[in-house]
Amino acid sequence: MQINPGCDTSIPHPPACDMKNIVYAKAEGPTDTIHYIFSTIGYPSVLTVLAPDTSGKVIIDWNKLLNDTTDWARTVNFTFEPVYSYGMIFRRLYEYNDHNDKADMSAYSPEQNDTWKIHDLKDMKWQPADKFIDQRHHVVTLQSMPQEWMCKNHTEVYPCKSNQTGTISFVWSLFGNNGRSSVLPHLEYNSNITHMDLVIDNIKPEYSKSRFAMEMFLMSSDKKSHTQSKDTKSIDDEYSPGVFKMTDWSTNMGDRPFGGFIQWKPVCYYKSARGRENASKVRKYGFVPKDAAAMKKDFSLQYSVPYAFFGARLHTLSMNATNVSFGLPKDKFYSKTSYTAWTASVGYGNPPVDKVSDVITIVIATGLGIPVILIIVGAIYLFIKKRLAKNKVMKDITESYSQIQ
Amino acid sequence: MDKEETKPLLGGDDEEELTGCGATLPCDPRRWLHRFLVLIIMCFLSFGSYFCYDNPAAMQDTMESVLHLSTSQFMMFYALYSWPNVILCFFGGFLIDRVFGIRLGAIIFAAFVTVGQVIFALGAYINSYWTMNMGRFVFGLGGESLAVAQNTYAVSWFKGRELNMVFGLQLSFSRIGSTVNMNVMQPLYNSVQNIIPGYQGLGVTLFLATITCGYSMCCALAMAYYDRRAARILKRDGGKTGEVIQLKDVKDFPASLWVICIICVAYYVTVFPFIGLGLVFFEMKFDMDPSEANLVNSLVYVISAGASPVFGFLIDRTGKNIFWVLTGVTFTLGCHAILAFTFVNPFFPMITMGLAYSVLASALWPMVALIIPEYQLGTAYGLMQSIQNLGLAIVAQVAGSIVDAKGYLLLEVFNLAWLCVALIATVLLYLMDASKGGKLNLAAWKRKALAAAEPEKKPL
Repeated sequence: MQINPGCDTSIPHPPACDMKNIVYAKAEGPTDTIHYIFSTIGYPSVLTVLAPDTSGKVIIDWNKLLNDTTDWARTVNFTFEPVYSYGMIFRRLYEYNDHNDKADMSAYSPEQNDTWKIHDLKDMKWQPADKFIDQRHHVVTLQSMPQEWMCKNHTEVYPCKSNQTGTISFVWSLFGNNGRSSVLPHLEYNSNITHMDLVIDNIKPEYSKSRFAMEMFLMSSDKKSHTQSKDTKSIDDEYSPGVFKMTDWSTNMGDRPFGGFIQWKPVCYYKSARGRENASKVRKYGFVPKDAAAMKKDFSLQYSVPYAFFGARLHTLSMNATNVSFGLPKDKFYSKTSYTAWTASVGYGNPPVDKVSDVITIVIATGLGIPVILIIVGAIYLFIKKRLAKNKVMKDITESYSQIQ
Repeated sequence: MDKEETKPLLGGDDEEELTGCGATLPCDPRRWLHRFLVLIIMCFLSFGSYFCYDNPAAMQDTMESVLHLSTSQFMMFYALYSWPNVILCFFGGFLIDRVFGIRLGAIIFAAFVTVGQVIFALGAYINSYWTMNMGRFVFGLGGESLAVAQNTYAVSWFKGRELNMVFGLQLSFSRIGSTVNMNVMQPLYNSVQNIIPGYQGLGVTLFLATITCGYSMCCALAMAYYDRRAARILKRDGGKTGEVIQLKDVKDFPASLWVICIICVAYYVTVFPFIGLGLVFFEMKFDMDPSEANLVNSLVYVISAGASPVFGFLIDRTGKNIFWVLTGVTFTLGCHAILAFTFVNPFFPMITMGLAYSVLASALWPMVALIIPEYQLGTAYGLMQSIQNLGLAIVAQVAGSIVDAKGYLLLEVFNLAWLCVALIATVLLYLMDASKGGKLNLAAWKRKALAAAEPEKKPL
């Protein structure tokens, strides 16, 4: 597949639009196209739509999207009938007080006092997308605005009197070929994958032992719910030193071999200069399938671009939710560096599988093979030498014996 | 009867008569009990040095926060010990052989250790980073050379007898010293903090640690006394040829010694740097929580503390040192392979590694005594330790870089390659030794028989 991705920031007409972010990109192949929408309207989200040909484009009903705050259904449309679509919504950033320093948020019940602070991501204000966009490398950063952080008493009045200076960012990268990221944990990419970096930077922690977790929803246009989560363990950590696992969370279509997925290594970094010495763990929790009835009761997800696209169909989609939390016991919590960065791959198809690289195989073969060969050759040489010596002794004895006779 | 008439006719008239408590079993150097009581003193000789060597590690977080140090500044405390000792312990050994002699040498190096630790503590008390560095440097001048002195003492008192067990026991004491330090220093500091807070409290805590060095100093003095006495009674100096080592003798050291040094360095670089980096490996690959990972990581030290004397005793009984070295290397090879290529619970390979390390340490070091004459022994041990320190210092850096760049799998492959080098060197040693009569790999009973036969060869 030859891909030429293009990234247009569709921020047309009214000026109020520059406070909303819809980033639209098209990855074109020879026979089909993947349309991406990265957004922070309502909840931060990504929507991926597979088109059967190369001619389609998106049509956004900006009027309704900007002015109607109650129902965004079908404000995002495409000029074609999507073959397959999937999306992710990031709903809440959980902050929890890790009393017993186990980096496991399931140890605390939701009603526990002095433990939870929930940051609802739709209440955040975001920087305009064109502030941090890199067209050449197809990277866009959607960053929250520091001073518009949620207040303790949630009000609609802005600006808030909180002295919060931190930001949370979603960095989306698109690729036109196959390769491996140059940044730890060196996840693989191809033209069907976008890389997401989640950065929680300089947020003032609520508690002395604060840790963070992200709640996310993965939904797809599969009718049946075949979402599965798979962990692979490997002895090889050459691409991400110290990390031996990979987690894949994919929606398998009922009648197609692959669907959408999110893939990550259970590692996050607490310094922006990523390295093994500032790596920490990412813990995943069970994922909860959301059925239609539960979705109908929960209106919150309607504030998102996937809802804008799917509309009422959202409730019939295959949808699952899970949380991932960041941190390792005894790592001095988020406040040690006030920075956490996590990378994941969101894509379509089969999640890439890490294989032992040729370099490592060659090194192992020579590094161990040569000594083993030396040892075997040496052993054979010794054995032959001993045999010959023994034969010589026997020969000498029989010779001297025959001389006597 | 007259004392003159009871004297035996041939020889023996120089035997010293021991009187009073000197004649009792524990004080008679000819008898085993005295040797073992002196062994206890000998083992404590470097206890202070091992205890204080790891003071920084036991209190890393405290030191970094109270003295406002970065991790690399902290690591300087160790670098100042290791790098100078790459050459210093060779010269320390040479000085023992050539200039000071073992008794004075041990006292001098114990003094360096004590003074160094005092300066280190003083530096903490006045919050001067550079004074602390100087203290560590002086401490290092004595520390490794004191270990060389201890080895030389061991050979002098136990050669041909329980030498393997003694080396094992000395290894035990070094581990115990380190472990006691890890468990005692931080609580000690916490108590001192209630009375004297801040870096002054840290200084006071380190001064208290100096007590162990002072105790080692006393042991050095005691060893000097007992050694001189035993030499007089046993007439050890009578057997000496009066030869003195020259610096150029080093190039005439038998090739077997160099091969032993290669085995030593190739083996040790796969154990200590790995333990230094092992914590994250066990946490991430085997999903252990930090306390469990810590336990597994310390298994090698804990097990060697207990197993070394036992294996040493066993090796004394059976002899065949090279065979034991081969066993140790092979088992460690297997352990690293299991850790690298499988997900087997790391308890098993680490326990095995601890046992293999005990076997190897107890069998390897005494071999030097079998091929080097006594007047060159200090230098030989100094040389071996120098090479070991050089290898450890370099490989520690290299191992860290490998892990940061390409991960733990490659590090383990690196370790396996070094162990293969050690294996080949061991086989080489066996061949070299076999061609020269097989002194190093004798069974114990054969060795004793040869030693008993020797005095009969002396002319009457």
